[in-house]
Amino acid sequence: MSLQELNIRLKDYFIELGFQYVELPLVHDSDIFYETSGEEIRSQMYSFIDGSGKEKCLRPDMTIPTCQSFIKSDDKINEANLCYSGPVFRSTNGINDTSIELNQSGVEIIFTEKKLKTIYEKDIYTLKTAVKILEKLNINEYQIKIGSLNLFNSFISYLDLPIRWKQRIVRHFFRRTYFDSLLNRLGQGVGYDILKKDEIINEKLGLNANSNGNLADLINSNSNSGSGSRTVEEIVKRFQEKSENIVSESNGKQIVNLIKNFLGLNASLDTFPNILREFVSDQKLDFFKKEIDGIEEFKNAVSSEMDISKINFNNDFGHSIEFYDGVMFEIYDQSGNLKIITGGRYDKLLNILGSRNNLSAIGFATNNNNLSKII
Amino acid sequence: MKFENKLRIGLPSKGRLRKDMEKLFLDKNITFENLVNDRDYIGTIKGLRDTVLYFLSAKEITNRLDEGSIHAGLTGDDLVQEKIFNFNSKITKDLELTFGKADLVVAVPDIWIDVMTMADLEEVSNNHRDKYSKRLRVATKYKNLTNNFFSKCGVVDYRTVESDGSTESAPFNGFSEIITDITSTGETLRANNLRVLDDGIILKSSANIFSSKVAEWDNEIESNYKNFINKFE
Repeated sequence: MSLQELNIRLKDYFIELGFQYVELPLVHDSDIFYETSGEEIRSQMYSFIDGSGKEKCLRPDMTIPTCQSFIKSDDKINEANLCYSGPVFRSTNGINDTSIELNQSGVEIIFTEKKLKTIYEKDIYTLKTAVKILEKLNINEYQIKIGSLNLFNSFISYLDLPIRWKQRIVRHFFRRTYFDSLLNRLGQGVGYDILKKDEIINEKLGLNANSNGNLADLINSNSNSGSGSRTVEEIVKRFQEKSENIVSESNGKQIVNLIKNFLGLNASLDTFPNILREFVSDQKLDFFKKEIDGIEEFKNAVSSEMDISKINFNNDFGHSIEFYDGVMFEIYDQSGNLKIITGGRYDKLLNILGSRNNLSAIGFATNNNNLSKII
Repeated sequence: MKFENKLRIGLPSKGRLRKDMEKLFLDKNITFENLVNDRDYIGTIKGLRDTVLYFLSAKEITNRLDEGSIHAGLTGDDLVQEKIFNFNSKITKDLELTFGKADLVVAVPDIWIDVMTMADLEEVSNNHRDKYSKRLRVATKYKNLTNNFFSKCGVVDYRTVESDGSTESAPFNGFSEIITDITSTGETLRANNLRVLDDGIILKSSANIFSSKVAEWDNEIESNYKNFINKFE
């Protein structure tokens, strides 16, 4: 089957399942992709300056344009089941294969969390839709990998760390190399003591820190330059916090080990809640009980509606695109090497794009280039 | 003057780089010939046959190396790494020179006493985005090098602002929050109340003689180029 045929067939399947097709332009303003995915996406994008001097690009993704078109459509609509199909354009800069055109078909399910019958309703519906699509294509052997950023976030929230460090670790979960270097730093102990603090004041402001108590006044009296849109109060507050947020080397090491062990947990969804329980009892942790019950509940909910023997839960599961923020999943072919579907929850994206309705969303996209290799 | 089958070399036409080069060439007994006057844009080197010199700006030399219309040229690492995509596959650094030394650095307002490292900057840029729903602006002439370095340091909540001159005044003028810029002594930065971050050196640059892998070479041109490089020994 050609890619074009596959794109059309998948679109038809989605429509058959009740999704509304969104026709998206190939060319978009680049800004929206930088705002949502960060400068990192720049190196993957095909962008150019148009005749009016505006930066445009070939769409590197269809989730963002689909959500954007939803927000523009009608302010009063609070739910939608949307689908799209076609090529996205991403440069691999010579890494991996050289194909710049990746064909995707996908769904975006937009909803209000408060209106759900059960908390996992949409997550399960999305997974089921993905599996249905595979069945339609006669793909009966596959592997599903699930991970949850929420689970990781709540685990980190319990650790004995300054809040700045917790946020930092969660924020960089997606950037594997930098994330590892963060843990490395934490393992060596962070923060500085009062002596170092005075040294900085003396060195940077050329003042005797002990001579005057009010740091903000000190800075104000010394600054004849702009503060780069940050207020002096903001600078002082963070400076004070930094010197109070000390993690000793031994504590840092212990916490890093704990995080690494947590990320190492990986098992079938069926056994995963028990694996988590064992971990908590082995590490003598007195927290995390509620979250484990949540995972148990998730497992039960999924197994009541679909076959869970093909589902694996992996704590060290990350995507390279930063807008996912809850349950994430990937589906591989039988061999486990070919990724055919990627999906997940992205509750913050609609807000970032300008919606004021506090909407949640979940979706997935098929990788049609890979699918075409196995059908 | 015929240009075909000749070794084509780009050399700086003006500024500090030109002066430093002239000093070095004098020292090595390399003499220009066939220049009509100082403003001439082409010439030859005494004792080096079948060679044409082009006097160009460092930026232009970099572009021509990238394109392969000159075989070799004198320019800085900063320009080469910023302007030539995949520079390692297109050019070779054959001779590192002792002048044109400068660092491409990340500088923040001096009064940001809470920001000493790139990790601090990462956190502050994230706070900035949360607070103002806008990304921190980085004024720079070196967009590509800045993006690569920031990405390596985990800094993602920023936007680059293209700046073609007096980048160091951008924070004071309110055009950006911070800058990345080339500096040799740091004086201009200090005068503008900016401070280089402890781990904020993006690139240590100097002037070099590069050869282009994209240009068309034959045995004769290669041997001429070897003779040219040997003059620096």
